[in-house]
Parts: sequence; structure tokens; C-alpha cells
Amino acid sequence: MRSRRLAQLTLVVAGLLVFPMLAAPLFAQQPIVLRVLDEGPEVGPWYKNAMEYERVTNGRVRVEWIASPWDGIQTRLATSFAAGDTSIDITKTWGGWTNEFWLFFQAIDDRWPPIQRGTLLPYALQPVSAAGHIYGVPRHVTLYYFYWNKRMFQDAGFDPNKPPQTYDELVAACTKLTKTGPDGRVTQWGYAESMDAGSPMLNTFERWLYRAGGDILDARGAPVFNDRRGLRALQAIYDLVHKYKCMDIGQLQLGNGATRQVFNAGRVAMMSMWGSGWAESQDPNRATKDVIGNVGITILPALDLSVTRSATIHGSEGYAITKAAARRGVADEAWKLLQYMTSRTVQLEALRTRGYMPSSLALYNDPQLKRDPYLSPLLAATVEAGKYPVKRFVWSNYGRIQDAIETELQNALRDRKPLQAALDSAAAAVTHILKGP
Amino acid sequence: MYPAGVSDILRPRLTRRRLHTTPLVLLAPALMLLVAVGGYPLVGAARISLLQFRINAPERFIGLANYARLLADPQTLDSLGITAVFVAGSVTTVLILAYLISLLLYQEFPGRSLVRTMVMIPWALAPVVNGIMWRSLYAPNFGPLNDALARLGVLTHSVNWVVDYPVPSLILAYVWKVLPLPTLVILAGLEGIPPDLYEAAHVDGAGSFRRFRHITFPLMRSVTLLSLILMLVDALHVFALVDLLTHGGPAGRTLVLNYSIFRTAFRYLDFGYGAAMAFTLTSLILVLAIFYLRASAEAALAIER
Repeated sequence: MRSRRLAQLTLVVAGLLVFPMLAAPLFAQQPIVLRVLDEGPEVGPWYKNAMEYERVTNGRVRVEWIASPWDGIQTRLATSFAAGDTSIDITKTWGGWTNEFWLFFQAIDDRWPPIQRGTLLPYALQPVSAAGHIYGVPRHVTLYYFYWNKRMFQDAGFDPNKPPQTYDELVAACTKLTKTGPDGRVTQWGYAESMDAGSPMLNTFERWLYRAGGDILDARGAPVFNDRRGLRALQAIYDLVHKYKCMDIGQLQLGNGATRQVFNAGRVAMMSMWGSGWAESQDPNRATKDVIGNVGITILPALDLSVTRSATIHGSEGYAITKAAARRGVADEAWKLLQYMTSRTVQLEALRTRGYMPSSLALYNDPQLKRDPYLSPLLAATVEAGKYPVKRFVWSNYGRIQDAIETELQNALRDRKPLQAALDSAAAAVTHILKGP
Repeated sequence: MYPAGVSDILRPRLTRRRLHTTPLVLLAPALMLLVAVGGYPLVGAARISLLQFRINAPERFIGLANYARLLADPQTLDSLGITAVFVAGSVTTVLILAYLISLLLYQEFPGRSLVRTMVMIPWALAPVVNGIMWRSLYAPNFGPLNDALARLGVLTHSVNWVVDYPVPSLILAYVWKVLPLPTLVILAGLEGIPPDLYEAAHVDGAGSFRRFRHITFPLMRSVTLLSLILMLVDALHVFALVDLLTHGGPAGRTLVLNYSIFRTAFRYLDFGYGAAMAFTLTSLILVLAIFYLRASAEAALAIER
């Protein structure tokens, strides 16, 4: 009898001790979960900072990161929105995607006072703007710059600190810096630009087109890239490949990553590339010792000095809040997370680790950054580039238009069509696309 | 067992009906899964193919307009042509090489087992790995393929494989990957032929070519047909290789139908038209699959005989 009572008492005490432990999770406040769609952690510091946010909010908010390669993000967004999926609260975006998916994004004009937006670089807002509204927060800006290998310049008898300023100077350097081996094969190309399908080809054409004073569409939205300025731009690229033979036609199959690899392997003397090229050319894991410390960065050379000294494109990106987040009632929390993830501290970290330029104007005037031997050339090139046109073509049917133009550009560069005919075919295709079904 | 009054004529029928229900009941879970995973998306795609379904506009029923557009769309017809060339080129190459390799592996030689195992290596690679590997091999100027051929004295200048020979480059990369499977199928077929037939032919004075023509090839007809259909279905499916190696370029020269479907739906956000293209390709593959099942049954019968 006593032993039975003792056993009963023990059970009651054990239950009183165990029950709170088991029941506590049921009664504890569940964290607000925010789901972010972006590339993986290797691309920049945003993942790390998003994961830190849970600690910062004392567990009130938890961030789930949905990692996807660049191309996969667009596919994921298209599928999700078409299916009415609500699993994405925040997504990485750029001008093309914002123009395609703005109907599914939450406008944030009323959250973000214009005076705060005024502290950003002028082109920083383009990737998150569409249809007259702002749909997200800029994350970083990046431009296309001109890179050159100073040691190769010196070996060829050029001043290593004087990169080409004009097309003629580029051609002179390019031809001299292209070398062949005893078997007649090229061992070093003078110049490289990515011309792969899927955006590099169009980006390359855009850069030359803007330096020629042209544009893809006019103010009425009609294609104008097949005018004399477009022809001039395409001719410039064509001649580098076929007339001066200092750029490899094989660049038609090389994207940005492969082009950086070739440059960082010391096989190309000059290239045009995004800002990420700067970080990679200093990285011992990605560049040879002959390249590290021997790379210069500056603005793109002029095509016609009477038009403009330079022009470039930007690849600025941002984060957008989806309408799904608003429907779930977490749009306010998403906005706070975005402010945290795009703070000046994070922007600085992205700059130092990946060469992504900050969208905040104030950082460009920071004296410490200006003195930094690693960052100051990149900052100076960005400030200089900002004095000239910095543009990027985006449109609601961007994917289709891009493919139509790139197909004809590649036909022209492969000598399958005369240059003007290729441009005219592309313009006709774009007109047809813009007209709609 | 049966209620009283049930005639003798009915009893066997009742017994037969009860026996046939059992397999269906056992198969039901698998069939339900198949319907859910395969049938539901198929029906959904068929429905979408009858709509104007763009992401930025409300969906609208348009009947067979997407299919009519498919027949008149120059880009789609171009894709069909490129697909036909790719499929014909790769399937022919695969079958010829599979036969040659199988005949070699059929012979006795030291290390045959090791060689048979090594032949399987390409098949074991993931399609993505295969695509990345060949992209590296084909790299212009500084790629290993150009380098090796130059050192062997075959090339005097670097070749831009993907730019100048896009479809053959794609075929080569594809054939390398898929060759092991038909090789094994054909090898299994060869090993199923009774050796007595060859001995008798040899006694009668028939040479290698006549033995192949009058014994091997006729007896291998079903297996060959099986491999052919298998390869046709697989070649029509090609996607990862195109995405990684060429993105459908240069200038759309490798825009096979499967990749065109992906671009239409997920890049151009024209889901209705993309679904119509996908459904057309699926129907074609379904027809081939039916031929495959018939050929498979015939091959099994041939082996039994």
C-alpha cells in the first residue's frame, strides 16, 4: 500500500515536471517566418545578415532562405506567380524581373519617403521600379567597367597606367597584345567581352550602342537600335573580331563567368566586365599570381568622342516584397528585414567581399574608403562612370525581346547576315513582340 | 461456397470475376500515385494549352488557337527542324557505335570485364555534370579538346566548336553520355544468340560479314528496334545539355523543341502556348512509348524462342 502510494506520488511529480517542458512549445509565441528567394550564400553577405536577423529580433522573426541560381529565380517566380503560390515573401529582383512581375509585388512608395530615396545613386532605383511605382529596395549597384592587365601592357611597351580612352587606342593595344604561338594558335587575346546568349550578347551591344549615342527603343517605345548608331556599335564589335582579329569569335559561347576565368588565367589582356571582376581578379583562389595585383579598372573607352567620352550599363539589383507577404500580414516585418539587409554596414561588407558597389551616395564620399588601396580604384571608376550615361534596357517582354535581338546579333557576328540586315531583322522581330498577340 | 440455387453455369463466372479483382486491388495504390503524379499534371497541361494564359493577364479560353499558332510559328517550326536533325544525327550515331562496341565487347579478351564496367562511366554521370564537362572541353582556344588535337597534329588552329559546329558539338556530347545503355542492351541481345548458329555458319564457310548479315542482324531486329525507340524518346527529351552548353544558341541554332518549350513558358511567360508545345511533344513521345512497349514484348518473345 505504501509502495503503491509512493509510486503514484512519483508519477504525479514526474508529470508535473515533464508536462511544462512538453507543453511550452505549444504556448510559446511562434516566430514570424519570412521566406526570402535569392541566390546562395556564396554570392554576397545578404544571406549571413538575414540569418543574423533572428538574433537581432530575439527570435521574433525567423528568415528562411530559398537559394536558387540566377536563372532559377526567374523560373521560380514565374511558376509561383502563375500557380498562385504564396511561399515567397521577399525576392531578389532587377529591372527585367520587376517589369515582368510588378503585378505580384507590393508597392512601397508610401513606406519610403522620397527624401530617403534621394540619398541613393540615381540609377539605383531602376531595378525596383516599374509602371511609375517603387516595388523594392536597392541592394547594390554594379556597372560594367574596363579592366586591363598592367604587366601585359608593360611587356608590350605600353604605359601600364594608361588604359585605352578611345576605340582607336583600344584597337591599337588590342592588336599588339594578341599573341600567337609557334603552332599559329592564339596564346593571348588582346580583348574579351562576353557574347553568350541569355543576356551577355545584348549587354555587350548595349554598351557600344550607348557609346554611339543610340538606344534600344525611342520615347514612343519603337525600336531604333537599327539606325546608323546601332550599325556603328555592331560594326565596332564585328571589327574587333574579324578585321583586327584581337577578340575571339569564341566569345559567342562564353558568358560572364567564363570570360572572367580567361582574364584571371592571364590569357586575355583587357576585358569589359561587371564589378565582380575586380574582386575575382584579386582573389588567389580565382586568379593566377601573374594577374593578382596587376589589374587596373576604369571606365569604358569612347566609341566616338564627339558623342560621349564613355557610357555603360548597370546591373543593379534589389529586393521586392511580394503581395503574398501582404496577404499573410507580414509586409511590415518584411520591410524591416529589407532595411536591415540593405543597411550601410551590409553594403560596405558587400563592397569589400564581392566588389558590389553601394547604392548609398554617402559611402562614395567616405574618406576611409577613398584611401583604401583595394576599394579606391573601384569607387573612383564608379564615380567617374556616373558622369556619363548609365543605362539598362528593360521592358515588360524583356526575355522575348532579348532573345530576338541576340539571335540576329550572333547571326551578324558569325557572318550569317550582313550587319544592317541583322539589325533590321531584329528590329522587325521586336516590333512584332511589342505589338502583342 | 455458392448460395443454394446458383446454377453450375454461373459458378465458374463468379469464380473468375473474383480472381480478376485481386490484382487490381493490389495495383490500386501504385495506380493512384501514377495518376496523381503523372495524370494530373498531364490533364492540367492540356487544360492550360486551351487558354491564353499569360502571367500578367487574366486567363481566357481560346480553344485550339495555340495549336494553330504552333503550326504557323516560324520559330517553333525551326525548333522542330533542329530537333529532327539532332535526333536523327544522335540516334544514328549512337546505334552504329553501340553495335560496334557491343561486337567488340562480345569477343573474349583479357580485361573484358573491366572494359565493360568502364563503358558504363558516362551513363553514371549526371546530365548537368556532362554539360559542364563538355562546355569546358569545347572552350575556344584554351580548351582541352583543341589543345589535345593540336598536340596530336590534327589541328593547326583552334576550332570554335560550339560557334561553328553547334549541332554536331551537341550530338557528340549527347552521344558520349547516352552510349552505354544501348550498348548494354545490344550486348545482352548478342549474348542471347545461340553460338551453335555461328559454329554452323563457320563450318559452311561463311565469313564475318555474312555471319553478321544472315545471323546477327536478323536475330537482333527486335532488340535493335527496342534500342532505337528508347534512344528516340531520350533524344527528344534533351534539355540540360542544351541549357548548359549552348542556351539554344548561337543564334538559335541549337534551339531544340524541349528547350523552346521551357523558354516559351518560363522566360516569355506564355504558359498557354508553352503548354500546347509541351502537349504536342508529349503526344509524340507517347506514340513512341507505345511502339517501345510492343517492341519490348516482341524482343522478349524472340529471346524466349
